[in-house]
Amino acid sequence: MPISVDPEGNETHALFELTDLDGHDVLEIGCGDGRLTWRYASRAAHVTAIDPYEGSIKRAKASVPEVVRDRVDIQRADFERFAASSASSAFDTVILSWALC
Amino acid sequence: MVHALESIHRLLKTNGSLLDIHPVADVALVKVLNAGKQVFSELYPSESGEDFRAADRAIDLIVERGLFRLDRSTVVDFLTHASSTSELKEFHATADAYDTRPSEGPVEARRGLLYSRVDRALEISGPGAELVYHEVVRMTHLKPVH
Repeated sequence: MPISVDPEGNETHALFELTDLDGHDVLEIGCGDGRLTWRYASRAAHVTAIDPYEGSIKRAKASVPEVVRDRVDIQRADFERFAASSASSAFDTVILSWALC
Repeated sequence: MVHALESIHRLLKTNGSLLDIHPVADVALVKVLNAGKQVFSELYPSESGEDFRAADRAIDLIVERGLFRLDRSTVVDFLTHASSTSELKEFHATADAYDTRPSEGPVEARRGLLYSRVDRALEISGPGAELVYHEVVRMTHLKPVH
């Protein structure tokens, strides 16, 4: 059995309970290997998923599900630099994915 | 942390929202289950507790300052299933790779002892035993105040 992270979907279920992502432009900070991203991306209009770690971004890019490939933009980026180069009021939803700590 | 939250406030549309997800400090458990029954459970030694508490404080601070208002918050059980301690060690090593602080010897030693006890529990429990890393995750939904 390979390692399985939140196969019960508790985190995803709570995410959908707490926030409406339908048709939203989403920024996910700390996307890692895309574990959470792939679970919600089909609901969003577009997802910008960033992470500062090259290894994580490589794994994320290698595992994008075909069904969300056209709506997810994965970037290796440090958040502060990303924010400094981004326009104000650009996103409907920001997800801090285990990234504030 | 607070500066990052201020930047997020600027990036959000007026009716936007912020969802913060981070673990609750110092409650993660390593468990061995067999046929749904818990046969072993111990706290996982971690150096991240203060980081998680600092994240809690940063969220409280931006609400106090009136930058965001708290909409809803919840906690959920977050389980990682593994079939062996080596698999779980690899999982933790990947997670720890994000941490730039030098690893503290005492914590590493306590983890080593814990893994030994887990191995023994798996051995005693026999076929069908499952290893679970059980975290509790706080999810906080906030709305920007303009």
